[in-house]
Amino acid sequence: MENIILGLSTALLPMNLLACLGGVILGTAIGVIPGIGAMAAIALILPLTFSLDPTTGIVMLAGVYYGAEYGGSTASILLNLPGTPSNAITCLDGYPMAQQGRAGVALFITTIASFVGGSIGIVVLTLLTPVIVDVAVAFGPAEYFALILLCFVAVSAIGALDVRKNIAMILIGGLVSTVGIDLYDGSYRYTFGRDELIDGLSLVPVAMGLFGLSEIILSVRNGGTRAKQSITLRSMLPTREDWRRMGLPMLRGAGFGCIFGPLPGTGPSVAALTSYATERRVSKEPHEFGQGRVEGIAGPEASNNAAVQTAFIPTLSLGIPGTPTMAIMIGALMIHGVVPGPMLVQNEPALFWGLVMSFWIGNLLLLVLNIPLISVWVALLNIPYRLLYPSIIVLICIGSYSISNSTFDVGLMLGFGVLGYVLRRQGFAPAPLLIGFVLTPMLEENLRRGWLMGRGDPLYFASSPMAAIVLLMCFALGGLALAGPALRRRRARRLNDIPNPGGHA
Amino acid sequence: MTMKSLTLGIAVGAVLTATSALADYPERAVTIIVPFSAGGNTDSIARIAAEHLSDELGRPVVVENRGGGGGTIGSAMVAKADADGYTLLFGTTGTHNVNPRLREVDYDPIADFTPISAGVVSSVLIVANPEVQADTLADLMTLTASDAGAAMNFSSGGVGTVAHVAGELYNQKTGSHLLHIPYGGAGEAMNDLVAGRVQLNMNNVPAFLSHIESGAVKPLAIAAEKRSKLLPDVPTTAEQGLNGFVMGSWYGLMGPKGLPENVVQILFDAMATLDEDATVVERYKALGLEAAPSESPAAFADFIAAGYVWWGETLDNPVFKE
Repeated sequence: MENIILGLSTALLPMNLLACLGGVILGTAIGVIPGIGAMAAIALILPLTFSLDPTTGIVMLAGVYYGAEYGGSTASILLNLPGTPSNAITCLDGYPMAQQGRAGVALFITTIASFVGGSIGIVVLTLLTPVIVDVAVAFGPAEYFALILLCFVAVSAIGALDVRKNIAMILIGGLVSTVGIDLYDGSYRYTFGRDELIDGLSLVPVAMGLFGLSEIILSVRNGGTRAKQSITLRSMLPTREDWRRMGLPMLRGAGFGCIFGPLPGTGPSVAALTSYATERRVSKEPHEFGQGRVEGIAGPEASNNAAVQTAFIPTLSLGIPGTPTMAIMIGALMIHGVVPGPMLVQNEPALFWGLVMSFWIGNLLLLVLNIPLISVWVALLNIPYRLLYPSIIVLICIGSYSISNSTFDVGLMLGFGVLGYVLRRQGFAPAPLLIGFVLTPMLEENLRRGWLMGRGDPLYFASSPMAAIVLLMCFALGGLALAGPALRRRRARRLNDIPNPGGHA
Repeated sequence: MTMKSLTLGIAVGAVLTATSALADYPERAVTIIVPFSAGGNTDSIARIAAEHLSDELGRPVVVENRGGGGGTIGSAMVAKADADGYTLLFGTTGTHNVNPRLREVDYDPIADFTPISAGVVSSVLIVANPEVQADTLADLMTLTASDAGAAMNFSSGGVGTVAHVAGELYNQKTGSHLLHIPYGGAGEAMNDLVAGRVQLNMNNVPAFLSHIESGAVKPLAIAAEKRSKLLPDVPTTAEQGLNGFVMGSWYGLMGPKGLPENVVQILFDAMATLDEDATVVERYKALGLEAAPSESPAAFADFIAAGYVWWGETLDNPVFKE
């Protein structure tokens, strides 16, 4: 309790409050602008924080980080333009909602879901920090391999209706992700002697090209018709049916976020993917996913926001960064002479608890900030295409360029835009390609690491109860997916055999 | 203003800048390219040094991150930049000794640069998971050379990094068969080390500082000529009978080739007081580092060249070529 008071008294210092507000506003803006992700933004403003007090600096950087996750869904819903892979999942059902004229509702739901997910994440962060730390360390290559494999199996159904097409896309995404230096032997894969390719392809241009640019090309081809967006308050409030549907998915999503967030090497994208796949699986109408289901945005948005909050657990308490963005956070603390690690909470209680309390304040500010903004964003959609689309293309070009100040990434984004267009014309969904692109390197890394640690013994991957159980779940889920259509057919036949009680036959 | 006078103005301006670069350097902001992303080790070291340089030179010294290609993209950029003293590089062991030995890079690490001064020289520390049955380096060498050693792993932040090379050099010097497990970065490599799935890691001090304080890993030896001021209780490798195992990383300031001599001297003089600046010393200490400016630009040049030779010989080992 006294920790909370200490934290609040730190977080409510005018300077820290201002930093928090500045951070979340900047974060929201950056999240909304397609292509400029939290990582690029944090790297950009990092030098500004060097002159600030360490607590103020980290409060601001953290605000940008979780603020971007709030704002990130906006462009996904309005324009099918994700800035991060976790928001890419939001495109799947958020964009169809916008096309049906329900953009306001979708934005409202994601804001609420983000707040709920973020809040649950902070509670977990506050209460369970010591427990979760042990769990994060207990996860080795065998456990990660099993978990990521499970994610693969679960997501294979996301995308087009034809599962074979999705698997083909996942494999292509996996192939694309292998470009760059081989982590294990330092050899160069598909780099064609170009230095830009040594570090592999960046996610942002790939995602923006596949989703955003291809969408623009498609709409131009289709002559640019879309639903007129109404911007009255009533039209933006979710219906009672929407509220009912979003409750459980948000809670489940937040749960996934709290599980994957603290694990170094998975993070918000895996959390959002798992949440979406779960909602689709537990739903009675899985075929409606991808056509504007409320559950399909509420779950993933709650989970990625829970994950960004809980990602601070290993970063602060172990000094182990879960994501590249968290590595920058550690760098920001270190340059101020604050060393993240098990001693941080004891040595710097004001910083630690102040940061945690600033998360609460930040999330509240984001809620207050985002709700009124919804009408502004929705109004954007009523701008004529001939003005809107060129501006978006400029923005995503800048976003691509800003990753490493290189025109190479702009070219890459354009290339993937054309590829995305061609694929979608042929009935392939771009989402599985992106999922393959994100998950394959994780799978490969842990597979090969486990192979080394187990000295080539395949049983190493089932050597812990956790890994073994998750692997069994993979097989069960995989078997079910293969046998599913046959079972459903049989059940359908049996239902037809039952005489119709209504007698309308 | 007519077009003609504008052109003339620009031309005069250009001439003035070109001559004054030699006279009153620096006249405007100086940019230091850090060839890695913001927030990393090199970035932190360079930013702290840049702040000191700003004070000394009386002009802003700005850090610009140009990451990618293991630091080779930013280095190649500076190699091709104008030698006017306004575009400098914070080079490292990786960009100037290791990478050019592992693959083709777009620059010559010796001929294309004008060395100014080292900023930080860091030594490799051998650390073990606390469960490892060795409390001294001598114990460790006995353990790893035995059959039990073949089941042990060491980790690194990637192929060709200091930690990888240190581990293989250890294997070679002690007749051990530790298995190398690479990770995406030095930070990522800590998880399995703390958990005990990986037993050993040999990397520069900053990677371990907080984990040594908390007791999550135990330091066994420092691969330096003499003990570190930051960890005075940790004996050196030679003290414990492991000879020929002195290695580490350096981070230093340099410009493109042909940097005017007076510019080099001004920058060197500013760098030379790095270890007298209390703020710098304190900040580096928090990172587990010590400021170590070179004795002269020529001494830094010799140091880089010697490192280039040493890494060339060390990397000429089949385990690094696949």
